Amino acid sequence: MASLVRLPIVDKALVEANAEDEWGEAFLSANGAGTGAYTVTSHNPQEETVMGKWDGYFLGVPEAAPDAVRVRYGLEPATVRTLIAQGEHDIASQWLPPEVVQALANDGSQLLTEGGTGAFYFKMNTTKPPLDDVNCRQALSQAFDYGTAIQMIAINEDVSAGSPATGAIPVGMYGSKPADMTLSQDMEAAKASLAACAYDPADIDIEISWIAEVPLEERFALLMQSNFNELGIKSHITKLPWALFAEQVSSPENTPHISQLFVNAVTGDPDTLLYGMYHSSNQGTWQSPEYLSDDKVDMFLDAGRTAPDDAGRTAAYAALNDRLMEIAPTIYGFDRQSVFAASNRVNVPALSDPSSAFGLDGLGFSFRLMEMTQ
Amino acid sequence: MVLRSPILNLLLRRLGISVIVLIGVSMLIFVIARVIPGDPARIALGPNATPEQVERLRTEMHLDESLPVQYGYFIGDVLRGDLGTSLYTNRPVTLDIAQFLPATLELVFLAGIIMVAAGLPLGILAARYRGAWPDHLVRVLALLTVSAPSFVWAVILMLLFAFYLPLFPIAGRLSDIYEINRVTGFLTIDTLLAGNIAAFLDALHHLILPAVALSLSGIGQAARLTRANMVETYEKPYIEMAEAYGFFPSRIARIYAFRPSLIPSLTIIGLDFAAMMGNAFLVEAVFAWPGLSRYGVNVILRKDLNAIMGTVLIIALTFLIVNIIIDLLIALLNPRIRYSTRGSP
Repeated sequence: MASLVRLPIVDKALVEANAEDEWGEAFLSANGAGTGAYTVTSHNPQEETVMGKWDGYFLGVPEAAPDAVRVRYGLEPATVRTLIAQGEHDIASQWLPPEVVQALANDGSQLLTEGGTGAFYFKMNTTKPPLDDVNCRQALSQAFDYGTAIQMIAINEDVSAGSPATGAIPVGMYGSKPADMTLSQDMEAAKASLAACAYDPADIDIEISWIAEVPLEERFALLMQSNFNELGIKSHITKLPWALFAEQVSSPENTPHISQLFVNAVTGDPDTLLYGMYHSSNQGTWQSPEYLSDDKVDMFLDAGRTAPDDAGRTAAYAALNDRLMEIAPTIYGFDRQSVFAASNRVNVPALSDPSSAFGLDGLGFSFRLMEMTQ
Repeated sequence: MVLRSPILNLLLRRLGISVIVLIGVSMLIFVIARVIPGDPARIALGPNATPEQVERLRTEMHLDESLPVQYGYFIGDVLRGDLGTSLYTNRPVTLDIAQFLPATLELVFLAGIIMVAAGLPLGILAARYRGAWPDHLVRVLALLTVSAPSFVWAVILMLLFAFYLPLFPIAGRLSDIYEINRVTGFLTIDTLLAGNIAAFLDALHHLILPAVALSLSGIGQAARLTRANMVETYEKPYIEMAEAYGFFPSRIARIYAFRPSLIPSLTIIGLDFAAMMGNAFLVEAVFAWPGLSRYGVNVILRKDLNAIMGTVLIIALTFLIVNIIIDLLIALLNPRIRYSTRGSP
């Protein structure tokens, strides 16, 4: 279901005519064969993909939509800032460090946002000592400084890359807790939980990983290290490129103690957010480095997926939320909101006007619904 | 024994050594690429692939064979001109190298020209006025350029000449308004072949900032080395004699002091030039330059074995070619080296 809403629709005849392998992957990695509003005109995997408007699109492409779209890859934050200042770039990636987004906003760039259906998680490998002990996981969750984390992602007084978490399910989704029940640091509770942990804190050394492509995560790693240090727990920080991380999580032995991940619900439904993360049938994917295996969690996830009405789904996910708080496989960092700095030459209603926003992750980037104003 | 010219002897000897070095490099990188952590098949297919899919790809890539057998497959493919398919771009590695190598070579060539054009005159200037203010100024500049890495200069230059003073473009190789047919991949050449002078100037405009950033540490090294060698040469009796004869100081500097001092500088310049191929990565990242160095780092991060081998071999080959050219230049400049090779196999 999660992948069905992203099912690419391609021109079968075109792919079959050009395919050199079973699924035409080589052809599709360099050529457009879709049925959308834009067609690929050139592709350089290291530089950019250029797309042009296709007037034959069945829904039509508005006049104000960009004639061409250049998706640039691997730009450094300093480069993005200069390109936007020079008027050569219109929408920045969501992975820019907050201070760069802040600098762009101060220079007059607009801030676009897309959010509400995902969160930032610190995922604990529940198979690896000492995190196979729920008390130890609880101790780390309670020691985490949620307030400082929120300050670290603030762009300015009005815009932030997230809001305080209330639990495993982002506020507003089925089963979530009210917005005012935010999580907060509780060192006394953390010490009590640690005292109940079967492992001696002096023997614990937690590996905290961060994804090399997301510099912000290094700061969260340092924050955690500081918080855990207050508890008397040693930790070390590992920088992992995404590709290597995705490979490491395929086995519980190689999965770090703590992995930092942004995860979004594809459709705004908790099932598309939580099933892939916590159901025992989905262990060891990039979304599920917890390797969680809990019968109650499985039961609530299945109940949520099969409940025939809203009330049934709300009840199932609320119970799931409570259970996930109880067994703490994850530190629920904050409810995420993606922030994109953008030039003032482009108007993106789906990312600036809540009444035009979509419930599907990433659909705000439908180029045909953007408007060039200059 | 067949009598050949000393230069030809030197060239043949260097070519023979280069082949051995290339084989050694290929074996070394082949082993290193396979022992660093990470399963290339798993990385390529992603975490959602089933163990069966991963195993199938491992078999296709011969990763289930022993290292010597894998190396045998690799050498067999290389001799057929096939470097395999990149798991990063999903295209033949030869195609990737053909696309990305010219961008890096173009950048490194210009950086090399800037390095020589600025580094040697600065070194001559410092030696000619040794102990005076031009010497002190050059030494400070050289220290600054050598001590800060290229990517720091890249960001500083970008801020100064693109952000605060928008004089130069900062990303890519050519403005969007130009469409140039690819012939050599060198945009400065392709634009000229197309007869499009405006596009040529635009390509050159895009090249300047990254090339300057890449060349700065080399300029400092070349200037310092040239100065040191020339200062030593200035102590020689024949310079004293030339001064006693009343030759112009500029003539003494240019002909009698600089030429013998050039040989050690040339060796370092050659090494710097080749090292820029690898060091270009960060400059390419800052200026969004679609070159081979950046590609090399991306494929290493993804443990893309075929692409790693292809990239490293090409960089090693470039290194060797540059070294051969430098050796030949030195032999041409220095008869003692030239004639010492006479009679070698």
